[in-house]
Amino acid sequence: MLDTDTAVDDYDAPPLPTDFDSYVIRRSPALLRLAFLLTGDRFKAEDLVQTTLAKVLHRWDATAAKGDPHPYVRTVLIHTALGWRRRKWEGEQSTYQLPEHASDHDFADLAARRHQLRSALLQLPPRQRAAVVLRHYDDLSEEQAAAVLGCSVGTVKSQTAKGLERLRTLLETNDDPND
Amino acid sequence: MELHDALTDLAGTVTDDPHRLANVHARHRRRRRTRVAVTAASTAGVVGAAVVVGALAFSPSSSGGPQANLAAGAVWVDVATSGRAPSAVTSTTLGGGQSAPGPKVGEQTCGVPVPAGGPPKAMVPADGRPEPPPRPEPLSTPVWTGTPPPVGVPFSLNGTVTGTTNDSVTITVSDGSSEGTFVFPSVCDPPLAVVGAEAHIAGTRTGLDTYELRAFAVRVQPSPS
Repeated sequence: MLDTDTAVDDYDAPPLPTDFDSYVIRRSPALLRLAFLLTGDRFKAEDLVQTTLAKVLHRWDATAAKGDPHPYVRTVLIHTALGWRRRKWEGEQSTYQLPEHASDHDFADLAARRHQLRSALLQLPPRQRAAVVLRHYDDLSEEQAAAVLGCSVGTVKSQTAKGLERLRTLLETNDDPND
Repeated sequence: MELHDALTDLAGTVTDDPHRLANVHARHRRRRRTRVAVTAASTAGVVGAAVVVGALAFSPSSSGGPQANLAAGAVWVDVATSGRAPSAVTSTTLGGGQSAPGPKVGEQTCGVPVPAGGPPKAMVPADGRPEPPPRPEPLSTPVWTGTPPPVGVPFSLNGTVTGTTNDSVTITVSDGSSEGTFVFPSVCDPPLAVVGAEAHIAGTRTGLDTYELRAFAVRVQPSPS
């Protein structure tokens, strides 16, 4: 059921081109998926990705000259997402809903689980959500996640542990405030 | 299902935007335009303020009106060494459209009594550059209350303008070994609105109660906008 070819970052892919346009075409889908897990909304995720790319384009040559620009872009995306929690319109409720497929029992079950996971993720504090996503979706090490979040390894550990515990509680109790 | 797989599955449900690259470039152009506009506005404000202060400080008179010297982000306005009484138009405008309380441009004249030895130098900067040669005779008869400089020794001191009248300026000096209140004639009608401004004076104490004042300048801080 899992579509790992489209969902996971292409870490085993050949070296990235340093040209910005090529980078966007090649890696922005992965950024979008990461942004979606952080925001829980397709349109906010797209906005987050475009905002991030517009930021890094300003100094792209210097960034690309240092090697693979993706870690830097990801860091900018994470910090932009964390900064967005202070934006006023963050208080709006998203109208995004997963499509219904009532005729297929398995697919409906999967859709329900996705919806449940997405709702649970959104109930995590932003930094806990970022830590969980970086560690368990992006497969970053604790040191790498700490570098991206700009905090200590211990903070990453505690944030991840708290986030996982909260996720587990939410998923076990099927607590879904959006329903 | 493992959390990694579940997250991967959830993230895979988001659809891609085919116009992302064009949108990113459009956003970048907007950001650049905004940045350029903000920078240009800030620069124009600062330059405008400097130009206004500089233009107003320079006298149309060619022989010794008040002049300005840009130094360290501020403007030194020489207000009392014109050598003519009264002569040049000066200004207390601070720049950026803001004017200090007091006289308006063109309404104020300043000068000092004509020295017996001829017209004084028009401008003496306060940034450590060599001073112009002293005049041979005293410019005026100021009064120094406190600890004046030694007789016969040139002085170049900083202080604060603490009072102005139609015919005198009072500076409180606290600079090294010399301190006190220095009052000297300066014909300004109406009085200069520079009380509280940083001031610089230079000259030589030629006797117990006589001073040869070569320069008096006040520092006017341009407005940042």
